[in-house]
Amino acid sequence: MQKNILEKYQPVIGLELHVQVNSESKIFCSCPSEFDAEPNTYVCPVCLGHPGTLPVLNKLPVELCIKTGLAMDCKINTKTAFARKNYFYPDLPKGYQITQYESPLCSDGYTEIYSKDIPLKKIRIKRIHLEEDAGKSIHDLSESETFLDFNRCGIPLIEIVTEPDLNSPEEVSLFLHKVKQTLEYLEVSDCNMEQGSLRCDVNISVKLKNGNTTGTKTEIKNLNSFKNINDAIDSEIKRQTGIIENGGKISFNTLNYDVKEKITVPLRSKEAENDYRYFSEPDLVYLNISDAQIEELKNSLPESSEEKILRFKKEYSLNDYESEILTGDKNIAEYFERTVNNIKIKNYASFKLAGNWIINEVLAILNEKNISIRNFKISPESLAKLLNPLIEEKISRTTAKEIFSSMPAEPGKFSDIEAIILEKDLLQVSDKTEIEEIIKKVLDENPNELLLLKSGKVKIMNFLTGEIMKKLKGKANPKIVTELFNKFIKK
Amino acid sequence: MPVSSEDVNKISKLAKLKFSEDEKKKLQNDMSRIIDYMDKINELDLSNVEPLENINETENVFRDDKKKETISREEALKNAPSKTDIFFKVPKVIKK
Repeated sequence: MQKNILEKYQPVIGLELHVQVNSESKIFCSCPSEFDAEPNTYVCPVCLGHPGTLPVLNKLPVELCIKTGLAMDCKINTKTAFARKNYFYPDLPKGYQITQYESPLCSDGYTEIYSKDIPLKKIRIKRIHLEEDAGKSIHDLSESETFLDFNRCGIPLIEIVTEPDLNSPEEVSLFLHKVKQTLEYLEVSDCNMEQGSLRCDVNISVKLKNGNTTGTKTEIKNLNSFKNINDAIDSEIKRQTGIIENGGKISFNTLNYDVKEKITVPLRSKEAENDYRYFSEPDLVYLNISDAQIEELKNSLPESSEEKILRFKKEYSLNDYESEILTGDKNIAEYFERTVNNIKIKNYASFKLAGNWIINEVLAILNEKNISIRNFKISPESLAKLLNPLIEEKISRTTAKEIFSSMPAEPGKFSDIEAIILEKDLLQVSDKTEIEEIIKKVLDENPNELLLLKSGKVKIMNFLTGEIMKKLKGKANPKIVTELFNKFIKK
Repeated sequence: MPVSSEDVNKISKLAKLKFSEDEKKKLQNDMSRIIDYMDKINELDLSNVEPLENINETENVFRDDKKKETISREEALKNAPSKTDIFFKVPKVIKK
């Protein structure tokens, strides 16, 4: 983005997030709420909006919505009701969406964001409420018709609405990662953006940095990836500042983001003109959540990422960086702890070694293959079997890495890592006489390098140790090699 | 009259219903009478009365989160006026 424009204007951004809840069944009927089923197989007269059917509320989404509210320091509104939001669109067979309007389950909370570039900042949460998802329209199977799949219709959603407290695409991204992490920790949602279980509407306006009047806002609908959200905000800031710089006015618009052209495109005003005529849903009764139930849910909240970071530092003596990386994803934290449970020698050094192995080796593979730790083939138990001989200094780090890199290809083979180590003769050479012989041999073979080293060219040392390790096939304990090597040179 | 002919046009449009001019007049009349009656109720001082969102006094009717498959796809599509083997069909809703 042009720097001078960013210096002059400040974006003001609020978000509406739609999160698909991890439940077995839909919110108002017992149809399975699964993502990837054959079209129109998980539907029934209730979610298809047949006349005479009645909704019955699923208890789990209510509890998960309250848990989300508690995790974001919201006020939990004990007495709430549902409302009908009326509009005609083919993916909504009833002609209305059941949602909460006047009385959301949770309101007035906040969540905190920070990074090395952004100081701690509170983002206020206006409300969190429950509603149902709509079906899916498929526009590209026919020239003249739209096809409809109602499997998604009635899947429980939690809508999280923020106050306009975000002021840059970076803050939006930080906030979204934070919310995603919280929801994953709470097991409220898997937040899979590709599958649409986390979707985002962005409200955005710009104001002069030294002025206090906020401009007219526009709304970008249905963004479903971190990259698209970031790009759409960038492009919308450009569009709005462009209009203002040229003396124009922003009109209230609903926009779509065109991923191919990388621009925000206003919908025709006719389409954006909404009048939802909300009224209370007569088919559902009041929700009245007691303080005791709220207390119970509060006590059932799992450890938060912040609490986990503190515990990892204390319990495993990990540093800030290690703790943050290992707790960034709940499943990675679990993988680490299961690995540690299977480590034989339990001390800070071995915890650190295991943690760093996961950070440097395991996460590298996950990033490279773009998979989640849940799909990683090496179990924490197998990893511990590999790390145990390393911790006990029976094998060198080089050997461990070699075994590790061949592990994903042959998962079944590593039930007995110790047998493999013996079979392949991979045990670390700690026998000093054997190492001394090799050092002597390498120095004899490289008399010039030895002279250079003695004349002060310290860098040549790396070459010589490399040669020695090569001859020892990487199996030598590097500590012992360096020790003996230094003794040799001093002679 | 508290309900204008524009109001009637807007509401019928939102409801996706078409009316003749005579029907619209009659609707305008009926709706105006309803609003007049509401205005009568509004004369009452209700400042100390909690708003009532639901007339049903029962609270907290839940079911457990258990899935159950009820009808087949064939049955689901049975009453649809326009369909394929697996989808419901409607006229194109997005114009490109």
